[in-house]
Amino acid sequence: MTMKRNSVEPFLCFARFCLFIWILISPSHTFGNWMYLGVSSITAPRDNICNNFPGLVDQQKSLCLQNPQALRGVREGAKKAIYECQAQFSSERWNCTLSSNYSVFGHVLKKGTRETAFIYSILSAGVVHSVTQACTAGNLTTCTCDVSAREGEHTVEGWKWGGCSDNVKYGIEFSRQFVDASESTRSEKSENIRNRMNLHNNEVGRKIVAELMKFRCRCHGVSGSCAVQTCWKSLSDFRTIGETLKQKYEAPIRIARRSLRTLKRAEKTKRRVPISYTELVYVHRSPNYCRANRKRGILGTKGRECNKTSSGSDSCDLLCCGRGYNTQVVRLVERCECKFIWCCYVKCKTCETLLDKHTCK
Amino acid sequence: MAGVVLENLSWKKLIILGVFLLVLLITFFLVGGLVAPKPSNVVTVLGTKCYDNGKKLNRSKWFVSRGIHKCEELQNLDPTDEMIVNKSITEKQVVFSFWLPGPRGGEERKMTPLFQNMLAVLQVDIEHSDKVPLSKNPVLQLDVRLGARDEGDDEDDWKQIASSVEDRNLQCTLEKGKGEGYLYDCELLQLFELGSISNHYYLVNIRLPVNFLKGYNVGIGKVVDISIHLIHQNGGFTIVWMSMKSVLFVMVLSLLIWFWRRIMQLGRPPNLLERTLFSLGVVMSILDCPIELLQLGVDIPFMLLLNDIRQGAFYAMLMSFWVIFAGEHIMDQTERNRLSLYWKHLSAIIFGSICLFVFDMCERGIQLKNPFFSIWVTSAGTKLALAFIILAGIAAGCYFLFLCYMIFCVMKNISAKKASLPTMSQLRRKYYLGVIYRFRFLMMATLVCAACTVVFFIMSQLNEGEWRWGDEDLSLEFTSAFFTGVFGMWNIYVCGLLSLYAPSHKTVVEIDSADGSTEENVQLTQLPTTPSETSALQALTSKAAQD
Repeated sequence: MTMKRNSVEPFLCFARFCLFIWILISPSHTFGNWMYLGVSSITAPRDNICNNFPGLVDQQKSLCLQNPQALRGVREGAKKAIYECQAQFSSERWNCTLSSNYSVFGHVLKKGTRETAFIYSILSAGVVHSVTQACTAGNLTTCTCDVSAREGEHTVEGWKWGGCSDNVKYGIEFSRQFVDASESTRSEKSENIRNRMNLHNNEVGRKIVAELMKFRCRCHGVSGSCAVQTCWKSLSDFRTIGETLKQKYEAPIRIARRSLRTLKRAEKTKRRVPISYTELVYVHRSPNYCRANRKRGILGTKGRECNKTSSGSDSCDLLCCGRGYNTQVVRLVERCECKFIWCCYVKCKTCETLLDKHTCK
Repeated sequence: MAGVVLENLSWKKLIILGVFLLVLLITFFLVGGLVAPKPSNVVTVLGTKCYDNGKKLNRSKWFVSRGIHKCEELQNLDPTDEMIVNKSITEKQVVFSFWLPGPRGGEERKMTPLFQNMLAVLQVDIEHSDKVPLSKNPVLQLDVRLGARDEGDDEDDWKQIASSVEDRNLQCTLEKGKGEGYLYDCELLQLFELGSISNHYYLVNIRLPVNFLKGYNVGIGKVVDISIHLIHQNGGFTIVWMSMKSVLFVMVLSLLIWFWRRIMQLGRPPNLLERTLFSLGVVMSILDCPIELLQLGVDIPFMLLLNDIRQGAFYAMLMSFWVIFAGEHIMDQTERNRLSLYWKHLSAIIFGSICLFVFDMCERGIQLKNPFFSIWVTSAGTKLALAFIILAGIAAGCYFLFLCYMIFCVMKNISAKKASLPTMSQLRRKYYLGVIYRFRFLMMATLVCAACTVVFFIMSQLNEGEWRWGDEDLSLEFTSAFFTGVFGMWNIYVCGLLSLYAPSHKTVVEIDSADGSTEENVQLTQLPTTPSETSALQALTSKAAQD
């Protein structure tokens, strides 16, 4: 017995050491990520999906096993977020390109750039949004019903006494547990600034969802008067959330690499100004997305369509990085004069137009 | 009113009584704020888009959003969606299904009669698309059914409560600069209101049938989702409210009996003011009577209507009381003590009340037949409703003008009397001082109560309307405190009136002991025997004129 243990121990020790080193050095983002849920095409949650899905960390697996319905919410959220990311960045030099492997965003997530910050925040927001929606639709039966502790609850069931809390509370809590899991497990071992940056940006996404909730009221007093008024908050649409996060992306805060307890700004004069959860943070400068760099997974803007008349980020000047553009005349066959009958019927004519198409050199 | 308890009460006793009432009031406020939960709760349910695969439109079939009889769900209503294209689904095959309330904590939540009533409002999410914009003033036509089921029933045994085809005007706006893919900001639409809750689960099925000829549901844009916000009273609030009402009911009723017995003991018919005060007490006790408790056992759908009527009757009675009280204290030469003198004021009150009653009958009365009905949805109905409300408002305005004029008269007379007070004999001075004191006391009490109501109301509205994110630790539920506090306050007000303005037994004795002239003594001791008191008052005032 003792012999056996002795012979096994060195090996185990070595294995552990290897694992530790591997965890320390391996950029986890390269080998898969929960975000892959958003692009994978699994439809029905199978029994073993939680364990076999690439990129889920242990805590995420156990959450998934506890609550298989929620995985659908996460998937919807990730899908929604990725779609929104591409919609928001359709006219930028970096257009939220997806890579073909499990890592979803490929090389972008390796560095702590502001693009990474945006991705983390919008995915975290997407999970909140979808899980909350699933609760509201009744698809997710496990949404909690927190009731504030008050007298009388012991005799009357909590929900009958004072109703349930907002669904979004559960959505945020779930997102905190699920999305943050991949970061918090590692940050215990190493004070990795990247982990903390990601955690911060995840929280920004959640805060934005909470902040953008629409406040609605209804009067229902005597004879419908406003003597009694009930107000509640409901989720705003994801397009608005994406737009707000895009605005945050435009003005992010660079943080110092050596931030001890709290994140500190890189800018020396503003070190003492605290960073709130409504601002995205980043560590590294963004690479130049103009030219293709296969090694770093940058596609470049060559061949991208640009707008000659615009003065924004989709203008030919900006998008083509001063390289100039090709113009060709194309015949555009488009659907026009559409007649739409709710829900599902669209009848359009096809119109042909000649159009100048500009593409970056 | 010769002498009331108020005048003969020593300061000490009055302060004790005041402190007692204040403590009672604070108790009511705290009961609402600390024990009761929020007055109402909102349950939001996002509609499940069901696919009706029947060949023919079958309106009697229920589409359930979850459970073992869950309908075939459509993920997406986009015209390019795979399932929609493959099955060539049309709008007639899409049913929005809502199971109210939603599940929480792993199990189905149940509605209970404790919730008293529920109101469902509809939120329609319409996505903007440049190709299919929203037409101007679109009309949404809802083919809607409401069913109910109890926990023990068979899973698909939904009993129909109501079914109707309803029109609602969509009022949507899109912020400037927002384009493709943004949702319109649409106003909430009233769906239904139920005055009693007798089932555990409710099921709503909504279809949006398109009718080209009549233009229904044609320009409604891309409806992507519909959700229902269900507002119901909280069970805990109902319990606290009912307990409070029961206590107040007993309190007001016992005071009322005491008051009436006191008047009976006087051995003269009660005068107008006493009768009015008594009626006010009666109406208050009717309002306090916790008949809502019956709803826990019996299904009473007209409870909402009944509560509105009870509350309206109380307001009308309170207003009548003020005007009669002011009138009886005017201290001029006219013979009062007759109801007919106040016909102008009272008819304004009655007219206003009738207007509101008719409006309420139109809204909640018809809702008894068809819970989906709302007078506000059609333009004719809106005009009618507004007409009634404006008429009631005009009546209220007239009333307040009358009341203000009356109070002005009283004030004028008071200052006139005050100037001549030193010249009066002691007895007459005592009499007038009493009248002035009575009036001022009530005036103060009323103003304080009214001011408190307004302040509490504004505070509760601010509190409710404020962005309250994350301050759940706050243990004081202000809106509930407002309801219990204000309701308790007006009860205390009426109780105070009943006890302080009850005729005093001490009057005669004290007047006897007063050393005024014998002539006046004779006149005043005659007081209780004179058929109407004000004639005595008049005798007195005419005497003052002679002086």
